[in-house]
Amino acid sequence: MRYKALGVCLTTVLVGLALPVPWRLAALRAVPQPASQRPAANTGSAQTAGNGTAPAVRPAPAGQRFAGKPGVRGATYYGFEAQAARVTTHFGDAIVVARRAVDGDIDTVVSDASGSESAKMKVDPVDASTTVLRYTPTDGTPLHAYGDPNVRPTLEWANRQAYVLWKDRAGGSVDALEWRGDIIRRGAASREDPAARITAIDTEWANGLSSKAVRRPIKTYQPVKNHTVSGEVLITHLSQAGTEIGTLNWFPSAGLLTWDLPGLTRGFIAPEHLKDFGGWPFAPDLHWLNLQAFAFHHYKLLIQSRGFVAQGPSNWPGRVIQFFAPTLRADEPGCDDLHWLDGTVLRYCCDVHDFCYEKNGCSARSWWRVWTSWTCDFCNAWVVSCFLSGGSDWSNIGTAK
Amino acid sequence: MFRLTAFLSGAAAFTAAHVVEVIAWRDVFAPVGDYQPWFLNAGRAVAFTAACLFFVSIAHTWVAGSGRQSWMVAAANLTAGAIVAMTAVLALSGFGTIFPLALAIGALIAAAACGCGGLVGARLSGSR
Repeated sequence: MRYKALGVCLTTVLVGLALPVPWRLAALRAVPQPASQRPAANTGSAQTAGNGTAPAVRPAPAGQRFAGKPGVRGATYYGFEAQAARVTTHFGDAIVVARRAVDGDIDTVVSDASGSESAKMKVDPVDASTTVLRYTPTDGTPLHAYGDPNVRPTLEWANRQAYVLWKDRAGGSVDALEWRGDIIRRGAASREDPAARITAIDTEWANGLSSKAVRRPIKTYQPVKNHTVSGEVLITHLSQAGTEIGTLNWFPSAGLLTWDLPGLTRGFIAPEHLKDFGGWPFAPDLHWLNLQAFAFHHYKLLIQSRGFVAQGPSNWPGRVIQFFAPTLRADEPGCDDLHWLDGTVLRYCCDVHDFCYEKNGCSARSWWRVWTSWTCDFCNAWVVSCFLSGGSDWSNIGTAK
Repeated sequence: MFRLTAFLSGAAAFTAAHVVEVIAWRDVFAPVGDYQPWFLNAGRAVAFTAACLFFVSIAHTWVAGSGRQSWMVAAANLTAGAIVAMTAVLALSGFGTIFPLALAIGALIAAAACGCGGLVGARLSGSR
């Protein structure tokens, strides 16, 4: 009887540890914004209100993770996009090239199928909320219009906008024009999405990297086990000085993203990996694939170049060690050595501990060199207590002085 | 009470499980993600390592014919061997920022697996 009871206890502990943990985090949610403050946010005004009273400071709930608005691309996307020097968009009947000038302006040139220049457009971001578009067709009247403050001008957007204005034969007066989504179109124009006519996008960065994304029809097959794809694939080839260094594939029919940058990273993301977040929050397109390829390369190379991930020795003992331990680890996002728990409430403990380490210059050695830094000891003590309390310790030690 | 055979069995079982995880990491254990092969980095690897220790513990206790009282000692030695092996693997690959917690959780899993295996093995041995 004693053995049975002990066996039940041990089995319960084992099953509880090994099975997928049920205490999953809720999906990230957007930061709510009171309606009364939206106009102020758009104009960037942080000054006193018109009646002389200062606007109230909104409190943010502690212990909660925030994400951007679902479907709206965030600061990381625009950060990488801003590093692009030139974007070439291939439509069925035109090629549009956008370049970023040193002053932040975007110069766009539309060429027809024969290669003749048909129109130019200049996007002039005057300030954070004001953008002026100057569209000049070769055989028509120039058009000047203000942009929408909610539309953030990018090279890819400028290409689509210039192409649509050229197709719609816009010029002169803005009376016949209207906003459709993020694009200015002639009111009588068809409802067709101009993005659907894009066949390829080339993106070039100043450091010699470039990526080319194309659409290709595919037959039904399984690029990844248990994931059947069909229809079309969006493929990005990332190149450095003309040599291909990686590829990304997006299969819209299966919601499957695969990538392979040899020597840097390889993997895939399928809908089941995003079920906690409600699936893909946006539909990846050709330009996003180019930026994602650049981001993969940037981040992975950064880790290598800064020496966070050491290369193993090439002698035979080193190779044996490398077999058991392929790389030395950096401070990874999430729970180092415990990524099995990344999707649980304990992730909070790991993230705050990582932040605490970064802020105070700690490393794994802080665990046994306790005399070197009290703040590091505090980080370690806190993460232990956080784990023991099941991630319910919400005191913000990440800001320890 | 130290038992070398049980200790080595535990270490060998963990090492063998780790070798399998290294070989099949991308295909079986963690098709997504860039984390290196380590049994606490993926749920399947946790289950696989625990299962290996469980069955090795059964086999060891059953073959050795441990008495009703000594299966706990065998399980403790198996666990100790597994903990030493996992510490060695972690040290070779570089300690992460919360490695003591990783080792503690790994030790708990090893203890539970070896304990359950020892108990089952003792019952089987007693019924022979």
